[in-house]
Amino acid sequence: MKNHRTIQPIEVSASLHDRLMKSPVYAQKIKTRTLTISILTTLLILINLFYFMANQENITEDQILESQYANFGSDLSI
Amino acid sequence: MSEEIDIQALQLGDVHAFEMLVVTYEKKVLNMCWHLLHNREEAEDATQDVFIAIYQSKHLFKGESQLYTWVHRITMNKCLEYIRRSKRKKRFGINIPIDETFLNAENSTQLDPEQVLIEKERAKAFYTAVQQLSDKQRIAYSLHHFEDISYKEISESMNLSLSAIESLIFRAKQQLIKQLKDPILQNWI
Repeated sequence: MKNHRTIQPIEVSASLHDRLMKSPVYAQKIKTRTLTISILTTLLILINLFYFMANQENITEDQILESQYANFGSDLSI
Repeated sequence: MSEEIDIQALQLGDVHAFEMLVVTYEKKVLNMCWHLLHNREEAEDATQDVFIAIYQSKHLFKGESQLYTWVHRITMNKCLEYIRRSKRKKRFGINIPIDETFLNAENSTQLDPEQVLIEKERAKAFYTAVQQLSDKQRIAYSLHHFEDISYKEISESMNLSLSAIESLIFRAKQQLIKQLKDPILQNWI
């Protein structure tokens, strides 16, 4: 004869029941949090991109000033 | 209250309809999670996630299946997530213990301490073997064995054919028989 182990079902505690009832509130919080994180991530990516582009320009300018062509034309007289 | 009216109101965001859904399914979902995860704390967290997921995806319920099948499916998917997460945790040395309730004998008050200990070790070996089954085998076997859910209902919830479920449960039993040599434990399978 099979001797299946039976486990008595557990009851839902009052605190868990309250948590479950608040699921719509939690769902809304999760949605807001996800949206905030998405906006912040997009903003950070854009800031980084602009910073990188601005810096790229400065580097190019600096590089030209330090190169052998920096004084090109300065000794020419008409 | 009919399921259709309930879900229609729920899909319109009616809080009362959602509360009715919680009252109807909370115990069923909690026990299903408990039987699949073997840990009360994990089961409670999974139950919470199930109801949040139900609320978030309420508009996706098309009414093609029974409401309980849809709830079962969400519960199973959440439990699968938890099982995978616990496997990852195990790799980092974090072990989620099997609940004492699963390890204690039903008639432990009538047994002497030595027998209680032996019974506990047996139960631990049994549930550890169940946890070592593949994810799908574990879910199909646990739902049938602990929850007494029919093959047909499991196949609907898992979105698999009836023969696939039969095969999963058969292979799970074979795996358990191979792992558990103790004749008493083989009787539990």
